[in-house]
Amino acid sequence: MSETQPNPVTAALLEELHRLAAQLSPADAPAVVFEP
Amino acid sequence: MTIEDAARKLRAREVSAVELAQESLRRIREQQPRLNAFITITEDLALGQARKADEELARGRDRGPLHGIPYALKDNFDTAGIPTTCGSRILADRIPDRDCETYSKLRAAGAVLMGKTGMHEFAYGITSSNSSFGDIRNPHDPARIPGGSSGGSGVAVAADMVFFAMGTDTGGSIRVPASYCGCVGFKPAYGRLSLDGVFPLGYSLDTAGPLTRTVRDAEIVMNALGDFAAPATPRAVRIGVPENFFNERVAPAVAAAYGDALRHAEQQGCRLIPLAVPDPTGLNAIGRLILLSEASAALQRFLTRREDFGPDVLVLVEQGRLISATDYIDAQRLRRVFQKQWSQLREQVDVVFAPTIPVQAPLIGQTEVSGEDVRLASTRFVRPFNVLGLPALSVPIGSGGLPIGLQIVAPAANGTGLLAFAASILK
Repeated sequence: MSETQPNPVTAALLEELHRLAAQLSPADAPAVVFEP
Repeated sequence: MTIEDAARKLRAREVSAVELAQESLRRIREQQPRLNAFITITEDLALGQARKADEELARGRDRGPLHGIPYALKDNFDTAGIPTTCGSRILADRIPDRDCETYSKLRAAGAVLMGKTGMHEFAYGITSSNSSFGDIRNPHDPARIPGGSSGGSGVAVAADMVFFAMGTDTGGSIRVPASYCGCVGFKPAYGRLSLDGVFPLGYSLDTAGPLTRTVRDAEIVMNALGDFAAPATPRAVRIGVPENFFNERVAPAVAAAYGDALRHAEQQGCRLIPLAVPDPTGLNAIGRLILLSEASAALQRFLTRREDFGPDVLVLVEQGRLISATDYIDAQRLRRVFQKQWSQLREQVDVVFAPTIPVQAPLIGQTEVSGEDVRLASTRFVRPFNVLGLPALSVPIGSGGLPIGLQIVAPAANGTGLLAFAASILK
């Protein structure tokens, strides 16, 4: 049976991510971008 | 004996490549039942490559410092005609039809492949306790983990089975076994060494690098793989000493050895600069989320064989599929923000010193150390430098007892000077 919900460890990581991501501005581009 | 020593003896005809390979095989056979460092031992291939190395030297063909030197590859480096399992029973019968670039370059350098080393399944963990191929054991105490995921490579070097072994490092997987086993482990800057033919785990985090007995040997292997010019040894280096995060929950023996290493560096003429480093806790969080996502992309095709995964890896693969694309992209956006913050440290320091791991090797099966999850305790000081893509080296420090590692990090991606600096002050 596959997991369908983040476990508490993953949920805590996502909570930390969301806290940090609140500081991002739209101009902050990701580290991985397409390189032609 | 180091690579340098062996190379000198080979050219002085004090030893032959076949004799080095035979001694390596003797050590492997002697230690394998106790330590389980290897998944595949390539005896016939090794003796054939060693004979060729001797013949070439006899007629004046010298391929350089790795000519005739026994080594091993982690079992996620593809080798044509030789099983390459990634430490998983899912790939137990996988035999690649082409070589990875690392093996091609090492063969061209005349090095002698003794076999493929054991690892944490799919390189996705740091204990090297492996339900497919058995637990790999620490040579300093076989009841303890060697660290991982390049556990077999760390053991093979630390137990004198080979002169060097290649590993991969996505969240500490070269530096962790180097620290727990007591050898040198070098994670180059992201993108520095080719990953062509290396089984992926975290596409934007994976690096390949050597585990060796000395820093100088790591330099020799890197030069053979990357053709890097040896830089001049830097003088009056400014060493950043973190005053946050990297001094938290550090075991007394590790703290004492780290303090000694700082004093030694100061005596060598280095300046110690107290440093506040930008949010390693945040770096670890985004690093783990990026890896969850990328590893699931790489491994989810094997979920049709769910029962063949080790339970720890299966949980991670399933959890990674639950990270949204938006969250993954935000983690990669934050990575760039952290990268800018850390790059400013270059104005203040040339290198950063920190313990590689805050504890010494836990027992096999132990899940917590000092009240902390073993996996988190083992990776929280090393993972940030995968996220930042920076070169980082672990060298053994301390005396007696279980090994302890010192991590030396260059705050700039150009890490060629890092090995030269480390070699100069760690005499």
